[in-house]
Amino acid sequence: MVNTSTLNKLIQLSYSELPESQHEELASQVSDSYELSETFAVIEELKTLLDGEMEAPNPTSVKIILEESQRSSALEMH
Amino acid sequence: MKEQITDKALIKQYIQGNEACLEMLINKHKNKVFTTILMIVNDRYIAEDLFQETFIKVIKTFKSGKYNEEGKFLPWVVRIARNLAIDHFRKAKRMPKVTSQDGEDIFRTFEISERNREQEYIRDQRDETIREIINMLPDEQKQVLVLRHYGDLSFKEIAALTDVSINTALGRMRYALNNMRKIISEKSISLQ
Repeated sequence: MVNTSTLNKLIQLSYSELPESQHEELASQVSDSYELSETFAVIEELKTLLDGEMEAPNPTSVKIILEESQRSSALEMH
Repeated sequence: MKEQITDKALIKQYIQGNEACLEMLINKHKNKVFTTILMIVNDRYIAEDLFQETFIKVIKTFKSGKYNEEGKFLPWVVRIARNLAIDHFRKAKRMPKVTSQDGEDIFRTFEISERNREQEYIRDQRDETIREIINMLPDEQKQVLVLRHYGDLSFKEIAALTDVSINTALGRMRYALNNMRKIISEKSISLQ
């Protein structure tokens, strides 16, 4: 069973948050260990599922923000 | 090959008067910011309002010359969005409860009708299920998951923002992923 500390490191590895030396070392351990590679694959699969949830705002919202910016720029010029 | 312009360059040019750079900046980050807000408030219409409020606050900060270039843009915007979402919930709690003649909470009725309309926007049943799963997570776990995955905040930044140690933030993420996995398994949802 993968211990808590290693699980934390795998999550950090997945989000590219480990220092380069630790990143390379753990990535190498993951490729050499069936248990670690299985655990890492689950983390990556869950992240892929989460990516599918990404939603876009309504274009009108963006338009309102841009209009507000132009309006405030116009006010600054006067 | 088209080179990606950095956030720093876009902000600099926008402050110098190039309005098109703001549009590029918003388009680059809008989905992550919007999804983060949506996951926090769980209501598309409130999320749209808070999304607008967030970027209007960003514009004001840029134009006032108070923007600190040292930090990363997206995590900064996400922090603004999160604070606005928290303010929204505080205000909502203070709002007097208005009931209709039959005693039903009219805001509740409005909420239900909005939610029904919201369903029209969601085409993919599986994605809807994933969102339900995220909302089933305990708040502390959901918060770390949303801020890390959608808001692009590092675990260190999340730890500072939520006033916990980095190990606690990582632990909450670990539990969140583990709970997601358990729920997916119970609901027999395919990960493929």
